[in-house]
Amino acid sequence: MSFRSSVERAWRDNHLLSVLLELTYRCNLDCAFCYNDMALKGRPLRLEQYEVLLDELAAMNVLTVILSGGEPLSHPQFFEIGKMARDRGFVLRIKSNGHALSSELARRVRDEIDPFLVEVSLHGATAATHDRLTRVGGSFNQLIANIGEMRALGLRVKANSTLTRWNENELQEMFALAATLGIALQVDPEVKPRDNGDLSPLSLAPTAEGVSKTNAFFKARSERLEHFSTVPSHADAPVDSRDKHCGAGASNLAIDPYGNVLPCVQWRRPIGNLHEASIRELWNGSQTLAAVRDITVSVRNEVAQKASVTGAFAFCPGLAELQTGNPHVPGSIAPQKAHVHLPLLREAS
Amino acid sequence: MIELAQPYRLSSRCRFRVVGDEGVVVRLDGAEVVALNGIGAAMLELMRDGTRTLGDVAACIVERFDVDKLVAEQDASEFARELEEAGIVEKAGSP
Amino acid sequence: MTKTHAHFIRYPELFPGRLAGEPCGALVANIDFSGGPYHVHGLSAGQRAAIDPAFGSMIIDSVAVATGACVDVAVFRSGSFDFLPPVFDRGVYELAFTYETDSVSVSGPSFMGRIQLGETTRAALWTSADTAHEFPIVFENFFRLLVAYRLLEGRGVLLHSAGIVANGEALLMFGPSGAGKSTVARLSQAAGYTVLSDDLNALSLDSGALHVAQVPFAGDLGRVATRCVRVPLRRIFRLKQAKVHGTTPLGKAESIAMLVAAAPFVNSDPHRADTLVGVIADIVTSCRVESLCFAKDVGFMSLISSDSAQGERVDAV
Repeated sequence: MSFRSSVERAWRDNHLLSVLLELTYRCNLDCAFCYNDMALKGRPLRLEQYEVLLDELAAMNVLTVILSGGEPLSHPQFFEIGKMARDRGFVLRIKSNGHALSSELARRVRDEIDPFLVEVSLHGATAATHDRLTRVGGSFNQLIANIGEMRALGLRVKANSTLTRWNENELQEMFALAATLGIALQVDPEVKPRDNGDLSPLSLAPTAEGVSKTNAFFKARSERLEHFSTVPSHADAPVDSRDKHCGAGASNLAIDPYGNVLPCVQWRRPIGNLHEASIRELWNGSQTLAAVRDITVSVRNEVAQKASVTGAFAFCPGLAELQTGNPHVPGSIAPQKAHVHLPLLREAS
Repeated sequence: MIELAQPYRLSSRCRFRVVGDEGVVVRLDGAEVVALNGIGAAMLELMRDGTRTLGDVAACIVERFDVDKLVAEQDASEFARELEEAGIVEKAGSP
Repeated sequence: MTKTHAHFIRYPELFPGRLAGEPCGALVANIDFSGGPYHVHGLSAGQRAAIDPAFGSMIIDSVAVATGACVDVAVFRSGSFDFLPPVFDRGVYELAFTYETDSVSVSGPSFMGRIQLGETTRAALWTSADTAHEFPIVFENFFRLLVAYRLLEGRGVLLHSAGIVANGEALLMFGPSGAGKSTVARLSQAAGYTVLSDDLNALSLDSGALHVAQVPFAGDLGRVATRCVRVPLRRIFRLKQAKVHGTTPLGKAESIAMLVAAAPFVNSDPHRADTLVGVIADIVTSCRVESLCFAKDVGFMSLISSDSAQGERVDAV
């Protein structure tokens, strides 16, 4: 009996553990590589629909709700939704770029939502690199100041970063900066295509040299640090399932601002829409979801056969489907080393 | 032994869900996760909202798991003490 | 004092950095006007209904959205969360602007807007306004700004001026507040001339020639445009009230300086200053600018509506 085994069983038994809500695609930054499909059309979910959704997720014993975007704080009812989620007892994570999380907003987040974690985005170790990516002048200095304020308020903060050709030479300094700020840093080595299949963000993908330098850096670091582990970014805990390749559609789901339900934030095969069906109906009855779960089982077997030669644990069927139309066939992005971070949850002894 | 008339509730600093037939507690402050077995998960689920005394909790456990009443009461008291020490539950006001 | 976004917006750090958000509704209004056509989408039923009375027959059935031969204007929902309590009132608002090399941002009561300038200029409006009372004001405030930038991109200019049609050609009269734009417009209208607007006129370069288009915005004479009247530009006058009517030519540099001062929005944008001066220099080269002294009667029209020589005087009637 352990959390790890609980997660494994959730994958196996299709127990929904974690739901990511993309509340809005509005954003106060303009990151050059953003994967959001901003031309997506639809009817945004209303507050009452979020209430019904959160009621159902609580009844389904979902553990974690992640508020994401866009910049989730720019949803007109962010605090109402956050409060509803808090009242229903979820472990709440907020994925924000951190740009607006200064004094009053940071305090409101703590007092009204009380999240388990605020995840912010750090794109470089210097203002020049970070601001070049966010395309908003002053955003680096604002973020560093905001992290300090949030920490002083007692909020738990973690930084996420995507490796790009612009920051690939600053990795060491970024980890040093995170250490100075007293926060964990997670680096995702893959720039993602846009959700509509547009590959233009990949022009910022790290260079081959940058990737190998990064791998060497992570290897040296993992030897020095006991807690440094490699896990897929979309899982909530280190899992080495013997059953499914990942928890997409099995232990986690993502829901976009228009109510489209997706197996994972990176696997955007529509399962259904909350304007037409409830989350419980979709979870229990969707043919698409059943197909996705089957795919994660077969991908698990395929990867197990190839793993020794390709090191392909980070293979993502969702990204593969986006690029090649086939979740079994990797696209132009070579499978890379796994995501690296300091574990967020320690198993209590 | 802890008073059986005492109700406990889940601490506001913790989140708890039943996953399958086990329990997962996340302590927000320590960023720790605690796994509970089936009976533990059932007991914490019963305590969660602070409306049941330990005696009520034990009575429900007797029904559900077919255990001896005395043993259930002892287990409930012991479990509540452990959870309280770990900051997972706190004493609730009189029902 | 110049306003900042903090005058209107509760959390200025959340000001949109890109043209993205969720629509207020699924309705569309295609507006055929100078610098356009404009493809306005994401409108709620209330917002869409509020556009018709203001734009009348400028609303057209379709525009070539796919080919990009229109200006994309997205209307995104927003809430009271974003805005400080608004004060809605008729009249001209002082708005808040930020100018960047490739964009301009604006905020005002219950709205934020962003115009992304470049090869294809696009715009977005985030607003909580949804009623026939609020939305026309919000939309007009935003649309005026967008038109000013689109005209400039087409080497034209939105000009604070009175526009009068005489013999099928436009006369533009500009000057600082109180110089007499409204007076001139009123007198001209009373004398049977067509007044385009007594406040703002769109000066654009169509097929190599300068034209004046009637704007769908309210002036002191009320909201006049319901179809896009477009007439060739004949002359531009700088107004000055005097005892007797008369015209005198203005020097080129002086003309440019005065016209820049009469080009709202774009003349405060440091990134577009050179472009604006260049555009106005071209206008001044192809159309003569004169100083018009006028008494408060319509006698001045005989001076300016004919090919009368410069420097002429007529007595007040």
